[in-house]
Amino acid sequence: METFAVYWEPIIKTYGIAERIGLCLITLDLPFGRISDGGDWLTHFASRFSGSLVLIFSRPASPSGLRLHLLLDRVPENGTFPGLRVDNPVELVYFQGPHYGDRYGIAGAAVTALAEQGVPLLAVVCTGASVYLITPKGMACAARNALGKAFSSPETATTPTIS
Amino acid sequence: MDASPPQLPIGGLKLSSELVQIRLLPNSGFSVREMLRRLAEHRINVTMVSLDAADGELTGIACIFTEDRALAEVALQPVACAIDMLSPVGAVTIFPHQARLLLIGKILWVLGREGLPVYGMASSHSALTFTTDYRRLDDAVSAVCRIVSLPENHAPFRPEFRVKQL
Repeated sequence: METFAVYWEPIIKTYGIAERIGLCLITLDLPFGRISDGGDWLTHFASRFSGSLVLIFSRPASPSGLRLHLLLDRVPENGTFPGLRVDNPVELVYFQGPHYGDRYGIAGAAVTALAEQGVPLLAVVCTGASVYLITPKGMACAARNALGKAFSSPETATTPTIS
Repeated sequence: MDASPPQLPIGGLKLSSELVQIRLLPNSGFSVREMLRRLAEHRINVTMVSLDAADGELTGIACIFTEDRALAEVALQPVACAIDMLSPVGAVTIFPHQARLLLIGKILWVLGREGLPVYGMASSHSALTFTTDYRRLDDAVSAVCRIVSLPENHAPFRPEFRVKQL
C-alpha cells in the first residue's frame, strides 16, 4: 500500500542552530585488516581520557583502510601516538530538522550555504535528522550566520501576524 | 582483550534497508558540493554522510537507497570518474551511545575480530551508525549483541515502510 503526502516549505526549517568551540579533532588511519586493533586502541584510550566524545565518524581511505575521526571536547592528556593527527582547536555547528532523514537536499544546502559565504569546512557528518559541520577555529560564528541565511530556525523565523 | 567482555547496556538497534555507498575520490577535481547538488536535483535522499578534508579538500561517503542507484548513476554521470559506488551496503544504528568511547571501541573490536567490514561510520549526539556488507547484516547484529545488552523483548528494528519526499 502506498500513501502519498506532500510536505513543502519555502525555506528549510531547523529546530535551531547550535555551536560549540574549543573542540579537538583526532584522525587515525586504520588498515581494514586491523579494525579490531583500532577498537582495542579506542577502548584503551577511553580508559585514560577524562573528557567527552562529541562525534565519531569515518570513511574509507585509499587504498585499503578506514579513516577514523574523533571529535572531543578537549585535547587528550596522553592518549596520542605517532601517526595520529590532531587538529586543535576546531569548532562545530550543528542542527536538526523535521524529517531530515527522509528528505533530499539538506546536506547539500548546508555545504552550499557555507561555501557561498567562504566558510571553510573540515568535516561534514549527517545521520538521521542531524547535520554536523566542523570548521577551523574562529569560523563557527560565520558558519552559523551563513546557515541562518539559508535555513530558518526558531530564532530567525518570523511570527505570523494575526489580524 | 577478554574473549567474553561484560555487556554494555543500550536502548536498541536499527537496521537499514539495502543501500549503496557513494565515495567521492580524493583529488578528483570535483567537489562534494557538486556531487550533493546533482543528487538533490534528482531528488535522491542521502541517508548518511561522512566527509572530511584531511586530504586538503572535502571527500568521503554518502549513502543512498539501492532503488535510487540507477537514478544516481544518471545524476552523477558527469562526475563518474570522481566517484565509486559500493553495494550492497547495510547500516546498523546503535542507540543511545551516550558518548561511550568504551562501547564504540568494543564494537569496532568485535566487528574486526569477526572479519566484518566497516565501510563507514557516523554518529549523532544520540546514535552511532556504521555501514557494512548488507549480506552480512545479521552477522553484524550477532557480533554487536555479544558486546551490548538490549532491553528485554527488544528485537532490532527492520525497515517496514519508507517515507519518500516527492
